[in-house]
Amino acid sequence: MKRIMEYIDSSLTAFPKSKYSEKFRQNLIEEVTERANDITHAGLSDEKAIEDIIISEHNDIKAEYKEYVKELNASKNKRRNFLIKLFISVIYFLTVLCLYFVISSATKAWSVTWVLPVCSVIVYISVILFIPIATLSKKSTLFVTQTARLILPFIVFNYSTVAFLIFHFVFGFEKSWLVFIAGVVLMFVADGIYVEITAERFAIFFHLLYIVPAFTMLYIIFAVLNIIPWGIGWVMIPGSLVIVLAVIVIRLIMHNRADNSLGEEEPEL
Amino acid sequence: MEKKKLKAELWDKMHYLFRDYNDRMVHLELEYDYKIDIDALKTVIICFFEKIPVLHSSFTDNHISPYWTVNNYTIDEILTVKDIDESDIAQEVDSFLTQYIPPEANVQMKVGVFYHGDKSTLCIVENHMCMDGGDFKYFCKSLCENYNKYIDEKVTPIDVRSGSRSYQTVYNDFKPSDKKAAENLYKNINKSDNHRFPFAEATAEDKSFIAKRIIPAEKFLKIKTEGKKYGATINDMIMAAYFYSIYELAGYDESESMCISSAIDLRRHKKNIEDSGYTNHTAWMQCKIPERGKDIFATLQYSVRSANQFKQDKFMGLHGLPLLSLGYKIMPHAASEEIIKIGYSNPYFAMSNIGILETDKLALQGHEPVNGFMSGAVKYKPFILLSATTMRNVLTLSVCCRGNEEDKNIINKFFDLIEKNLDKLIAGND
Repeated sequence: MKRIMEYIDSSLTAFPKSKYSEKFRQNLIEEVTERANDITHAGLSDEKAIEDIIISEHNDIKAEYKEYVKELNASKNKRRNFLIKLFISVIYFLTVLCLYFVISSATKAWSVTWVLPVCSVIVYISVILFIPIATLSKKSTLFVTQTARLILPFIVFNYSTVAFLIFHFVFGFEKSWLVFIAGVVLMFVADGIYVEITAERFAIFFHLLYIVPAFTMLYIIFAVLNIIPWGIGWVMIPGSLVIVLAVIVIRLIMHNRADNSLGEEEPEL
Repeated sequence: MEKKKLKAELWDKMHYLFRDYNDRMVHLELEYDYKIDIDALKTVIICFFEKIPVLHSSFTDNHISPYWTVNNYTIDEILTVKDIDESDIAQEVDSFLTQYIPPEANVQMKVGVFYHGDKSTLCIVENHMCMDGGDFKYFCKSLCENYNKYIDEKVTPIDVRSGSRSYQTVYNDFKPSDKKAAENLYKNINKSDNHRFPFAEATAEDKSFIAKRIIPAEKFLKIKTEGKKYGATINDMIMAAYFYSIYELAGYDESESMCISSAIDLRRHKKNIEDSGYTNHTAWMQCKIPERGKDIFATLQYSVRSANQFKQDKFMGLHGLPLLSLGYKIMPHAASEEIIKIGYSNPYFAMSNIGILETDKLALQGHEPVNGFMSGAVKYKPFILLSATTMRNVLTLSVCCRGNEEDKNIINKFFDLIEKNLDKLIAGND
């Protein structure tokens, strides 16, 4: 073990002595001692061989130390970020609560102002739900990324509910139920964007799958709002097939460009 | 301290799925006119195990995502050393080689050294989930090289390959356009065949055994020379004899088409394997003949034609990989296994030409092995795998099977037919 200690110490001379470097050294010594014990337990008695195995596993202690410092800083940042988020959350809810009481007292419209805290909670939950989406989307397993993808429509639904509550109870809009139909369109849009960002292999199929139903929903919304007449408006639905075709053509052009750029390789020496 | 975990790679999962078809053990036997230095061998083995953690890991069949857990172990769990009478050696070696290492075991490789007189027989059995025959051969050569350096120069035996065990490393040396094309080969390459090897009925007494047939060097060289006349490789010659012998043994009509899968090493697509870890890179090439043909020479022609068709494909052996990978990615492991089982049809007839066991590279302290062979897993009936290895131009054909005495006789008859048909090929078509 003497050789390993010397190796560790000589590798760490490049860094100024600090509580970080001392902690790292202590951790490393504990780790290599445990490792040496494990190898000895396995039945290896040649000390030089044990030292060589351990040194081969730590062939760049300087890089390990840099990584250790980086991780420590990341851990500190994580803790700090958590505290900032907690502080913002508390301020957010206190502000919402104050606003609720102030507005309600001023307007005496208690039957309407309850929408404010309820919507605030829904918005808060939706923002929080973005965290698992961001984390799970980085994983390589399709099963896990699909779980993240499933959370997305739930968030869109939450925002649709917020919009519905505002339109219905605050503005008294008669056709506020249309918000939920618009929400379905937004779910398609959100998922389409998600599969593009995460470069999902079969993204094109989802785009094609969503276009016609999305236009059907838009047709209903526009017709109910009298923006387009019911009688002619249905043209939007078969018309959306043009967009389907356009998407296919654009994707083919992009695919060919990618293939051509792959073909431009340096000649082999 | 929490135990280290390793990712279960695609081929680890696939070989785990093969538990219904074989025992997943790969076998090696090497006989030396030399007494192996056990202390040195112990050092080399431990150093190798330390550098290849999957060898001392247990497989966990997690329903969502399976993994390996790296375990502590002792050399006694790996190495068996015995002094045996010359008369008992065959039985002892056979019993060692036919052992089964469960994937949940602490270690995934067992080494046996049997001293008999001034000779030693080195036997190694390992779990196919850790590495295939190609890497196992490389592992054994590396073991011998490190053993020699350790004794001669006191060099610590840690000169072992390490790196990624991913199936995707086969694409590393492709041009970007070829890599993209290879990664998009979504094709189910399985071809089903209704023929079966004529094994005896399974009984409760069935046990694992290895049947061998040795083809002497002079005959092997003739096979090689005669093969060249027909544009056939050794593999083609054995394959033709395999086909013809099955027709004869099982009495299949000569007009029937048959298919035998031949293992191919996907490392052929790699320029350098030094940066990869020990793993599996094997696929099946399905050699199909439309009929038996009027004689063995016609069968040979069909075999050569079928093999050549495969060899012309620059993505040889890579066609099923993206589909398999997708199968394991889209669902939790338990569900993926069920889906893959539906699409996968294990070949009823298979052949694995493991190739040459280079005696100079397997020499211990200048003593080259005098005999030896390597063989694939013990297949469960009705599946059969014929393994072929050559050492000093001596060809060893072997079949590892779980069966009874009757099966042994049938396999020996099968070997007789193969030998007879190889003799016909050597005799020529004059």
